[in-house]
Amino acid sequence: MPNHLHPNHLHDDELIALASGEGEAPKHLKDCPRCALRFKEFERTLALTTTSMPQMEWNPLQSGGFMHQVRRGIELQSAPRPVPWWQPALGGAGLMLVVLLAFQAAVDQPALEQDSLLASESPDTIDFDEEGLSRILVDGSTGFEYGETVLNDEDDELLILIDAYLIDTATEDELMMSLGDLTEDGVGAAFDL
Amino acid sequence: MQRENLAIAFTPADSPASQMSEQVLVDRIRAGDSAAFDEVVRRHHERLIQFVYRVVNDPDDAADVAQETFIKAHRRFGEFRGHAGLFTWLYRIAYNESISLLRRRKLRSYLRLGSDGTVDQSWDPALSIDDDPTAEMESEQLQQQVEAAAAQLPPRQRAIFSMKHFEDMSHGDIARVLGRSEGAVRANYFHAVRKLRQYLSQTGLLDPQP
Repeated sequence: MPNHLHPNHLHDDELIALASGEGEAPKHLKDCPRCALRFKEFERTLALTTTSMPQMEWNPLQSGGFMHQVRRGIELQSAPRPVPWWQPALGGAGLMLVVLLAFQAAVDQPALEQDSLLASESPDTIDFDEEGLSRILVDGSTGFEYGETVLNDEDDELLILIDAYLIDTATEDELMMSLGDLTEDGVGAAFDL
Repeated sequence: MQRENLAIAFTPADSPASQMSEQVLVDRIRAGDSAAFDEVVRRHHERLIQFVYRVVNDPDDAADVAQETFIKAHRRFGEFRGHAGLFTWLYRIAYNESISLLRRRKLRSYLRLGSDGTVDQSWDPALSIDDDPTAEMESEQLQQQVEAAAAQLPPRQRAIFSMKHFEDMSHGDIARVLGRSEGAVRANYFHAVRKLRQYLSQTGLLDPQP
């Protein structure tokens, strides 16, 4: 039987636990040179990393400044935030825009239905669609200009948010929240620590 | 907002608050005593900064994260139930803030906004060694190698290792900080030590001493 498969040999996790001061060493550890050597290695690993791990230099004089910053942050967050004068106006304008768009959509709906009816009666339209589809499937060409990307809604939202982040109108937290929503997405996975 | 409105009066270090037990401090903070919160900051900030430093690997970021930790703790103090110790609760906020910072750092690197995505290797250790220049150099090299070994670990494993060995926290306490099971914490710890051993072995630091 190969040495590493010996049934009495201690598993690495057991050796680490022992080297970390958990439990008592079994007799096998004294008798087996292989386990003893490995145990020593874990012991030395822990000794080196715990004694030679660098510490951050911290001067007690820095504590005053640190506490001042904390207190200031607390004061700032508990102070009421003034509402900019333009915010209520912007809210009103936004509401008005929504109402106008809804009205426009209601007016356009009958015309769209009529266009759709006409289009379904035209054989040319059907041929064009099939041709376009086969171009995508066979040639790999989408008919878009070079540099254009076909995006799904999620990607589109993400890129808009990244653009907003780049020009400082979105916070990192907003962006991270959006990435968090895209857990299945490759980009989202890239940021998952 | 007027700047003068932010005048801050600190509680002196030898104030009555400095003699209070943690439970009394918690009760007084709940009653709105800002001096009691100052005392919590005074008692815990240095340990917390060192912990964050071991996770984020940058002194400026460590101070910023620790600061944000206390500000958040103050805001969310109503959520502190007292099941775990106050420091364990602070650690939990600090750990989450650290991970959030590392994610932002990674994002910046992805977006190529200044950071090159590499780990900042700017440890500035205080060396407590003899005047012997050879010993000093060896000690510095050793620290650099240990630092490089620690940098190999993912942030969660660094945090677990740090809490276990520098804060003497049990696996159960660490599990409460991270919001994970004790078994998962143990597995992460073993994994971290195995990785450290492998790295140090490759650099020859585990070779038998002459």
